[in-house]
Amino acid sequence: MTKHTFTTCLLFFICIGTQLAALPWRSDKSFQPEDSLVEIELTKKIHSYQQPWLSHNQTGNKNGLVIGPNQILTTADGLSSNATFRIRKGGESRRYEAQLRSIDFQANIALLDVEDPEFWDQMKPVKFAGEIPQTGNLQIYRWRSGRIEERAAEIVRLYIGSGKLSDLSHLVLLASSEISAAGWAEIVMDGNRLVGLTTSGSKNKQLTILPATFIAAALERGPCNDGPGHGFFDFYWMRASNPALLQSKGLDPNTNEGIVVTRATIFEDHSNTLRDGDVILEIDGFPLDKEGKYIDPQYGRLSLEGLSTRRHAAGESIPMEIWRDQKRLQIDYPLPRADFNHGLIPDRQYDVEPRYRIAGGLLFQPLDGPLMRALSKKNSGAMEYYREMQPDIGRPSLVILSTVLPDDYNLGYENIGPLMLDRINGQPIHTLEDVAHALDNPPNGFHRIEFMHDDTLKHLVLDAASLDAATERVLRQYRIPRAASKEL
Amino acid sequence: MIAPLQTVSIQSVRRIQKILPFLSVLLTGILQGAEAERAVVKIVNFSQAPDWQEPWKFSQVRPGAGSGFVIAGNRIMTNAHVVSWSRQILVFRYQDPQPYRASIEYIGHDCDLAVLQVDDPAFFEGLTPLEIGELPTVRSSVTTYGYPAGGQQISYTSGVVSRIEIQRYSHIYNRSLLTLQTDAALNPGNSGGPAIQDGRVVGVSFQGNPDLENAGFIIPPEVIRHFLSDIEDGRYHGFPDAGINIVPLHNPAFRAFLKLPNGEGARIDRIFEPFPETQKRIRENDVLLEVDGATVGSDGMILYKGNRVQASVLFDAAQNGASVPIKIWRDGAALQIDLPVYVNTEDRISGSQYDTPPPYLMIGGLVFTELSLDFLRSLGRDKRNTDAEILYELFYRNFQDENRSRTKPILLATQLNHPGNIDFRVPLRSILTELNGQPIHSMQDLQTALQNPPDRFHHFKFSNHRIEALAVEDAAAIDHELMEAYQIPAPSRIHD
Repeated sequence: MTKHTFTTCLLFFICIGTQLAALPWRSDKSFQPEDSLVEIELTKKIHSYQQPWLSHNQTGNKNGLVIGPNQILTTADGLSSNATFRIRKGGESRRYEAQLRSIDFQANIALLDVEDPEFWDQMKPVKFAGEIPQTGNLQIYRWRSGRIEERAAEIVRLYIGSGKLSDLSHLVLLASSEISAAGWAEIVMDGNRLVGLTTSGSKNKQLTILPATFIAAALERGPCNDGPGHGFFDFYWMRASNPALLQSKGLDPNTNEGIVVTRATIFEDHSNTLRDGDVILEIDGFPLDKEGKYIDPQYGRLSLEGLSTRRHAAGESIPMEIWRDQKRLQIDYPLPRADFNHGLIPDRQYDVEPRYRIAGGLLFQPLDGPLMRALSKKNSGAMEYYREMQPDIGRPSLVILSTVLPDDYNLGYENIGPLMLDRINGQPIHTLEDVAHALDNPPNGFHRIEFMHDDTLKHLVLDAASLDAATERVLRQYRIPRAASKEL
Repeated sequence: MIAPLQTVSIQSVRRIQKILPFLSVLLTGILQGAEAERAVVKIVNFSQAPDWQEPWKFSQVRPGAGSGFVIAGNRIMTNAHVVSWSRQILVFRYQDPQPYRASIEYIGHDCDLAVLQVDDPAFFEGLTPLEIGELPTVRSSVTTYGYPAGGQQISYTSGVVSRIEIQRYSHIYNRSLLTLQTDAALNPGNSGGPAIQDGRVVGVSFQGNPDLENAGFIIPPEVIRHFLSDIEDGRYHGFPDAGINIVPLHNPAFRAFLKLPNGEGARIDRIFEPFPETQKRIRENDVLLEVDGATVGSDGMILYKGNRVQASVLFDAAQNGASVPIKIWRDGAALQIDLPVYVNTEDRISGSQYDTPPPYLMIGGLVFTELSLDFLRSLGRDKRNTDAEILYELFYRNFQDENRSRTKPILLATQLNHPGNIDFRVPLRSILTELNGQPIHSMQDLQTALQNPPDRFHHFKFSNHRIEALAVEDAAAIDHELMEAYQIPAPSRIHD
């Protein structure tokens, strides 16, 4: 080949390459986003945790995807069952009323339906990818101002992470994209197959994507289809990387297998299966290395937590091989159901109105994560300790006196709170129902309220006979519609 | 503009005659002040505080300047914080460039006071010691003397006593005592200098509050005298405490529940640990009616020399081990009780510590020390460094019981990496709960447990449920190598 011919060929390939680069990445003409992608407008109530009888409206937009007859898939983020939904399709200005059919906050997915049959005209369901790609580029679609916006995304990596709304462990896809303000269920496609829905975006142009394979499994086993629910590993573990620790347990110090269980019971009693100090060698047939990773046949090296949702639902048993007392043992680990009400102070609550009871101007509330986030700097150090450590203190849950609405009745107590309740009239307080029951039984004409021993005040006393009248007066004075949340 | 004398009118003379008595008082004060300034000294302290995370080390030497004043007995009084962690103290007389070596004779960190002695008796020649006066009244004027930053010469500022109340003493952090607040400008370097009224010391400048404008704080004569009286037996004990939490008792229903006949008295909500003598004599929900003859209001205050002050001021007035007569209300009747008060030495970790460097013990390059407020502060302001467990252990643990209040949590302060411990996987600041199967509640427990490994491994268990092990033989060798490498003088420092 002469020098001239070589130069001509080089220029030709450069031109072709430039033309190819100008095309949308792996654009597949068989997928028409406007046939499947919809825009969801939702209006929901936002509750105040500091004044739990108050709420306000909030309106927002996100994306949805037709995945089957009368099924529009979106993420659960920002949704609640009392929201109203309107859906636009094809960039039209017409909005269709939609209903929430099911919602799974643990998995962060929801299904909506539109009753108007006209809506479904020309709408085509999208198929899920059977496997999540681990390299290459993807396409992101969303509606913006009545037009489809298409952006490219480059896969960064797959990993086992936590859900945005829960601590459920599952596969998460991380991608890089120039798209702005994403994370509201923008659809991520590989050709004409759904790879996932975006769950969050960040300033460093990285997107987290809920993979379609996890969505499919969650739709099957989660509350969307009255399934058994999602499981999780209710134990803490640490790497077995210290040879001395392995040796002290009678294991080969040079072994590359196993992790050490440091807390076998967090929320439920698993003492008949796992124990503190056990070394877990295999889970569900997958050997674990000393960093807690296993080799997934599809996705390679992943963290063991992913095995809790990979192919099992809550209630199923997962076989484990462990090392205990110098012996290998086979055990079956019953997978606990992921539940937002786990723990002394549940960290998250979704789709529930804040619960409260007012008595004589004293506002009682169950202590949970949203309330602590609302109280912020008012939380005592003891409350923060209980939230972080979830210690076993012999009670299943906590109720606090969060604030006092000043009235002659509660004179002298105006500045107290938040305080954790121990007893009222001698009865232990774990729930708001306990508060109501205890206040029904005042001894000697007084209500005696005791707070937890590690809080800043221990006692207060109120008059029993005038409690109801004081409560009524406080409700009028502060324009509070009812003395307790609806379900109470 | 200054008017010539010959032009002074009759009316002017009459006006001068009217204000002459006030001028006389003012002139007396100025003259006495002129004497006072000779007794005010500049103090330069070269200090070296310990490193709380690497407790075998000390910081670089830091010079700091403060003020002090000569009192009876050839002593210099100053703030404890002016001379803390000193390696060398130099004192300078008024308008005299000659430095004199001084040393701490007594120091009271709880009241932020210290007295110094000077090696050279010539230092005190020609100096008239200042006398300690009485508690000044609110709105009366005081003049502060000292050597604040921004110049070499003595500085004077005047102001009024704005209020008198119990305030937290920031030097120790977990003690609150009687304090004078003034609007006289107090700046760094003023610390330890006297506040003078009518030629007598009515306070020692000691702290400010950056959140307030024109507010400086002064240690009052009551606290100064308590300190001087305490050291008369040759040892400083400190300010005692009754060990009770007094809370207001305004609510009519609570008062009726306690069958109180009138509007006086505040409630004892909690008895702190460890105060065994108080536990024997006092019950929760007793109502404090009188302390040392002073009536306690429903807000927990007494009238103290014309000021409404928390009743605890009268417990503070007693010396360690003394009994304070109190009247309480219990079960519908008044009771007279003599309540012994003691200095609480068990809560030292929740306050700033001085004089004694932190204890530590090294095991295979893992350095354990006591959890303390100083350790917490050494982590900086980063919130991520202060997990809830550490705060709980420091500030709430005393609420549990007497045994718990006497224990001192031990944590992993530092891991000096070595090939033999590089895979030890426990986060720094984890609290050690067990070593070799023995529960750990103090450095002494740690030292004992270290001597008794159940096999050829040391077994560690932490409050975050982490477990780890180190071979006993390896641990000793690792320590030996690391002590050489990092110039660590000893594998442990454990106080009795």
